[in-house]
Amino acid sequence: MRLVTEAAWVAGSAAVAGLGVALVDFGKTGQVSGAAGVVFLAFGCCLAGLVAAVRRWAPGTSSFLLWPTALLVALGLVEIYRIDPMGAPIQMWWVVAGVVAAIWVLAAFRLGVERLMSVSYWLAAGGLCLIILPFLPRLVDGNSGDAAGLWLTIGWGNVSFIAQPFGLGAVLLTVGLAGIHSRWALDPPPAGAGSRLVSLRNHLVVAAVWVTTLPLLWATGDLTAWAMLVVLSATIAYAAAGDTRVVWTGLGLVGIGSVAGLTSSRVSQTLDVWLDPFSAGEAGAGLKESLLALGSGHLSGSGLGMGDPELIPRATSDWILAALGEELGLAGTVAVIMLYGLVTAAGVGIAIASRDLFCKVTAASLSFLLCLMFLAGAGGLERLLPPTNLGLPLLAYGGVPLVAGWLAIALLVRISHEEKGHL
Amino acid sequence: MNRSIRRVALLLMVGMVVLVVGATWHQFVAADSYRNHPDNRRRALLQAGKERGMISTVGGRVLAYSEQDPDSFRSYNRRYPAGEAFRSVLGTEDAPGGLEEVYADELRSRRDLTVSDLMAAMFGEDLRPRGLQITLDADLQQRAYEILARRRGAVAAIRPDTGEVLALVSSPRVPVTERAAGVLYPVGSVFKIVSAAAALDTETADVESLFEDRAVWQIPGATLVVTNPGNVPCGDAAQVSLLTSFVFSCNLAFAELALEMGSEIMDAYAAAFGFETAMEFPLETPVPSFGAERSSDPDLLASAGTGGLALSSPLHMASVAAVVANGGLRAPPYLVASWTDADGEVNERPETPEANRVTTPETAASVARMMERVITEGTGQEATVAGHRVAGKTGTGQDADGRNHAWFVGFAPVDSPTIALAVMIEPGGEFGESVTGATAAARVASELLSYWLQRS
Repeated sequence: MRLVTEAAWVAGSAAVAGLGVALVDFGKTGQVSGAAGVVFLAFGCCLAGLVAAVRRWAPGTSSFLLWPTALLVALGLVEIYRIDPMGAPIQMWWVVAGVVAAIWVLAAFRLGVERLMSVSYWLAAGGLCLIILPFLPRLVDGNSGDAAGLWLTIGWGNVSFIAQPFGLGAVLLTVGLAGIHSRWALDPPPAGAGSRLVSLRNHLVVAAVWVTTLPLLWATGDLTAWAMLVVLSATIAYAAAGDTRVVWTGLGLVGIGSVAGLTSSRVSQTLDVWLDPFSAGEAGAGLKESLLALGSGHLSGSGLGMGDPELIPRATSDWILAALGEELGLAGTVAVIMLYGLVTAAGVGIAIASRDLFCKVTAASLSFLLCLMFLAGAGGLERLLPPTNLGLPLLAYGGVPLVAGWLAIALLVRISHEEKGHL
Repeated sequence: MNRSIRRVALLLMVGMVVLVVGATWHQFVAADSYRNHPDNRRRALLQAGKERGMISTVGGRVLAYSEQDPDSFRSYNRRYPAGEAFRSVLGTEDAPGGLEEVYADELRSRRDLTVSDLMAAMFGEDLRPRGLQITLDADLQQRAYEILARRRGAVAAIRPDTGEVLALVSSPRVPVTERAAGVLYPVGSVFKIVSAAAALDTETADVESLFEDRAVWQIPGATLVVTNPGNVPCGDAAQVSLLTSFVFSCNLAFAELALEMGSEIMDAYAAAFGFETAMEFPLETPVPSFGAERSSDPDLLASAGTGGLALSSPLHMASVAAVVANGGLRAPPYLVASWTDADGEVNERPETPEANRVTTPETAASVARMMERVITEGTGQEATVAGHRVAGKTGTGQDADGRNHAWFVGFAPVDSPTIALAVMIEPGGEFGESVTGATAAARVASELLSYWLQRS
């Protein structure tokens, strides 16, 4: 029975990827190329490998988390193949890398994830460093080169590429913060002298994240991604301690930071684009073209390979949901939203079922992270929030959103295994 | 702890629902405003690669067709197999003015690969684009383009009895604008065809009427001094006939006639010949003017009578010659012969406008005789075609900068005309900055007419 379930979702996701690639080919050229078969096999082998690793190291988990994840990755891969056929093989390799990373997580923590708790400060600090440090030079010289927003240009000599370390940093920070708050929850402050100060520590962690990430706001102008980090740290503290005031602290700090951020030219440019993307010139081109793509997609979309998503700048990374929305229509957009909803629900379910405090908080935090990143990216696209170039985890082009997403999923899988009493 | 996790999860799910509402807004409620947004390039992209109907001549020469792109399924490339000679008439879909742009909607395929297309196709509807047949004579057009190749100018030719446009050429092709129908040039003495026809038709004068022959004439009660070309008298005697004045393009008789006929008659005949009247034509055609509409100012009237103020296009001037060739009946020029279905079967013929009478047949015959004398002994001898009777009138129009535009307007053969044409040569090109009608334009007309007459 279990084999049937596994075979069904592995083959189903691989079929979505293969069939999607075939439809893209047909929509573009009227013919189907061999790429569909290659993608079907490669994607199927990746997932089969993952299932084997899950059986070996985390057999207690259910498929409920894995199949929506696999479908999201498949949809992203198909749309990347549609927009950028040269980038699709690279993305396929990143899928392989993400699955290998997930398998590595399962193998490395086969004795239990609570090992992570002992390094939680390091993880949080490392995550923050990954988020902040690469952008500090931009604050000094003010020059962001070709890359903008959360994108970084990394180069040696004449070889250069752009990358977005934000997502990986956010995963590390999340696990780190979950560890810190779990420790404190396991170890309540003693009554008496200094206890008032100790009771403020949850707020202080949120404030620390706020202070250290403020430079990011100035360097990138990405209000939404920055606010997401502060809100994330507040919800982790709230999940662990159950103290509603932490949430208000977080929201208050987001408000203060936003107002202070108005002094930054990059933030005010982001807000200009947000308020009127159609007259914001080159800076607003991404959001403008994305909205036009969404509207042109209408209910059922143009069909894979038959729209014009290549009109959107950075369509495979920053605006992949708009490209999907154009070719698959409102139906496709809602399907993606529901898949993220399922991933979140599965993660929260794992957290609620967990008995171990650290596992519970970590699972909840990782679920919140995936959902918040999606809410931030998609909310920016729909103009509900200021536009952001935060890569949608699992869906967008690039190694970091994919590998970071798979790391988070693998930790959730491992925790869901432990929750069943296995260790 | 589970309570707080559940609460956060609930809020996140509310966020997801908001995203669904937002997506519904963008992709359903407000979708049309995005689809039709002026910044949305999808519509143009869709049309650019789409199949479009064939444009051909009545004679069967293909001028434009769509060919499937070998690299891109669903995408077509537009081909122009007849070459550069037709480029200014066809234009492109994006550049305003040419047939491709004017009939962009009519030539469009209705196959959009949509569900409603499939339904329509199932009920036997033909969604393929229609074809357009135009009246141009492909060989004449090509020949005219080659003759004009080293010159700056334009040629228009029409069939006098029907108004079918046979050739419409402008050179050089850059800028791409069509100039044989679409630009007004000073026509000079060619307008004397209209003045003479008006005078004969109203019996203000006849061909042999005599006028005092002077080199210079100060119009009584006016500031204008009328002169002949070269400031010399027209003939050797004290008096000169209307015929001689016409044949040698002397101005004084025509200034006198215009003043005598007055504003109303001049207005009426100019309008009957198509001046001051918008032409119904698919390509852009500015309104030609003779320079003294509704004016009794003697300065203007006298000047207009000689043609000194008239502005017109080669196409319109060809239609002026056609009136004379067609016995005083004006058949308005037309370019669209018919619309065909995708298989080339004619299924719609636009109604050709009724010919209207401009002068009596006798007047037209008299003007035709005078125009023939222009070729045999007057200013238009360069337009002679051996073995054929040609009628014509030369002109040299000066623009505001004093640059001369050489004109020849005529028809052939005189007894049963098959072609009326107008040739305009601008300064520049192989004739240099100074051109007069007697040489540049008449020579082009001669080459073109001899090609046409020998062919038919």
